[in-house]
Amino acid sequence: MMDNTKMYKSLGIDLDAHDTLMGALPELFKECFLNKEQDLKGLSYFYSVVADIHGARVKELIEHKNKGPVIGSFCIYVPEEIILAACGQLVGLCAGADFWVPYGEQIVPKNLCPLIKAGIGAKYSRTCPYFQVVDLLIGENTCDGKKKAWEIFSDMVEMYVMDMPNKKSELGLKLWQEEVKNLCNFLEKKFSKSISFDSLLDAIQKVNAKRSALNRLYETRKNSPTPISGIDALLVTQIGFYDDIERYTKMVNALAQECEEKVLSNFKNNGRKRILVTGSPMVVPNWKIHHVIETSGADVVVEENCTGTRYFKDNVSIENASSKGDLLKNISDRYINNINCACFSPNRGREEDILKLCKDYKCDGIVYVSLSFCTTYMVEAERIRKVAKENSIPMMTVESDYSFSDLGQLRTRIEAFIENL
Amino acid sequence: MKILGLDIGSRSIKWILYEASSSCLLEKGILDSTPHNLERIEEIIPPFDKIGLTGYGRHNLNNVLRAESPKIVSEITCHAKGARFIEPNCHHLLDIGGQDTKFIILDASGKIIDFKLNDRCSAGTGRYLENMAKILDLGIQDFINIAIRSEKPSNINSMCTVFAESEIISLIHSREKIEDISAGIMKSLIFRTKALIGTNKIDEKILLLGGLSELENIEILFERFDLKVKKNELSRYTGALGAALTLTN
Repeated sequence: MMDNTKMYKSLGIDLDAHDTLMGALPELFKECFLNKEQDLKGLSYFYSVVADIHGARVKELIEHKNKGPVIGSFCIYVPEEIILAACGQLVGLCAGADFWVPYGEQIVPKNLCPLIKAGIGAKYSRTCPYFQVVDLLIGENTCDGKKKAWEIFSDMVEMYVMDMPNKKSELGLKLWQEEVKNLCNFLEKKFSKSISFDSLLDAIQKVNAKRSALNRLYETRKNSPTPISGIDALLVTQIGFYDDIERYTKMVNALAQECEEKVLSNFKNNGRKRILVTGSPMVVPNWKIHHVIETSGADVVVEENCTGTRYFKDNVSIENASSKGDLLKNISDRYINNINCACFSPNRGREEDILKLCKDYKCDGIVYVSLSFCTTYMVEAERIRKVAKENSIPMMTVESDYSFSDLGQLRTRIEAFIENL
Repeated sequence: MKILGLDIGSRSIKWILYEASSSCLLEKGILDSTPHNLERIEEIIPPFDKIGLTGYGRHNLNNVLRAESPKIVSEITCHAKGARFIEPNCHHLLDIGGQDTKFIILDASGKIIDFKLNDRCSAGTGRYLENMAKILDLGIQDFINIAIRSEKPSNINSMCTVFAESEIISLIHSREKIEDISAGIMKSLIFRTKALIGTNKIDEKILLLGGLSELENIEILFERFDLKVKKNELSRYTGALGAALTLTN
């Protein structure tokens, strides 16, 4: 057993700054998770993962480096299947803590989204063991802020950038298929791991199983009342970005089963309003909006964002695939066709997704959440607002960063929105 | 039954005592939001049977107020209810308060259809105006009276209150007329308000709420920059009144 301090030293962590970062987390976690009623036993695993967020899992990843690479990413377009097939572990690098923002602001402009500032700050301040453990970072050309951030990251960590189309046209699909193939070739060469049809198929099945488990969990939230609070569901999804895939899938399935049983046990409708949250991603430990909504008397029942349905809503097809090339094409199609990110123009698919989710989850209103200075999502809010209006779904827009300075304001607006649903 | 509505705002505390059986307003009061006043709030407010709380301090008075479980409601809902009571035919409300500006749209029945708040920045709120008047060494009412005289309002473009202060100081140094600077400050506030209102079509006078509504001639300045507003003598109390009304059926 390596003790954590020794492990942190080996990763080059700035120990004092890291202590400050970790000092704030327990209070926040208590406030958001432990101060509410909780009857789901299956959540204790996920709570314990967060409680030891920079411990056991980091150790596992260090041990994994003897077998294959640890690869970091910031976006759900980066196909996990290919990394797994190359004996790698994919870690979705969290950049949800306000602590890292001032470090990031030493390098990049203040008027940039907090996720990018925190990401750069986390690496630059050497206070995130996940950033320290990765052998490679895979970036993707989605929004302008990230595109330019990769250039800055490349001075601190090895970077590989996937190009993205801006339009889901024939040409766009082709570009992405090529990019997925290129990633596959690059990883094979870089880490001397050959990716075969079988290893790819096995990886696809693992990721499909993870997605199916999350789908199963989300399915239970369609019930009134929802068996699991939105903030807990968000936490579960967030952990999926860096936990061991097989163990995680098992735990999510167990929790989903418990939620299914809870629904059958005939518990009474609580009359709380049901909210769909949509917009920019919410990464650990950014639980702010869910916390405010759910302590203001409503339930978040579904998230249409990258830390919600977009992460798992459809599986990679393995039907009629007889070659590695077929599988790679199926992978690229799943990602490009099913993730409706605001970096695309047009992005009608997202409008349809939101309307369908509102119907399926019987939502009373939409809270559109954009990170500050997240241009694509802030601008797209206008289209979604129109669509929501045409369909008589009340919607409010929130723009917020990771700090707690606007909590009073947020609470006023969110309470008023809920009071008037 | 006597119901007290208490609106604990960022700059001032307002209350209304309302008699539910006769739908009458019995008493109203206002004082500054200072730590001292908050401490002795129970001694200041009149006796009541029930109490409704709103405003920024609505969640934090439990240690001071020993009332039986007060009803806590957001100020947006309260303003809508209070405004409906004093001006039943007004469907557009503009509350320019101490640290935020709210625009609220009601339907014919008084239900909120939509509302907007300034976020990220306090430029364009009542506090902004107070600070700017202070730089010009003017009381807030004098500031309005002087601004009305301007024929050529200055341009003040800064997104930030402190930078706007620097801009105003530069204007003072470059000998711009004090009335033009004052009108320029009002213009920047009203333009921000218009950005908040956005593309909503309004074919009536907007009911002005909040501290600004107590200033004489303020509506003339709004009109000058193409925003038609009207006031009511109870404009400043709609939050408190609404808090009381949430306890009636």
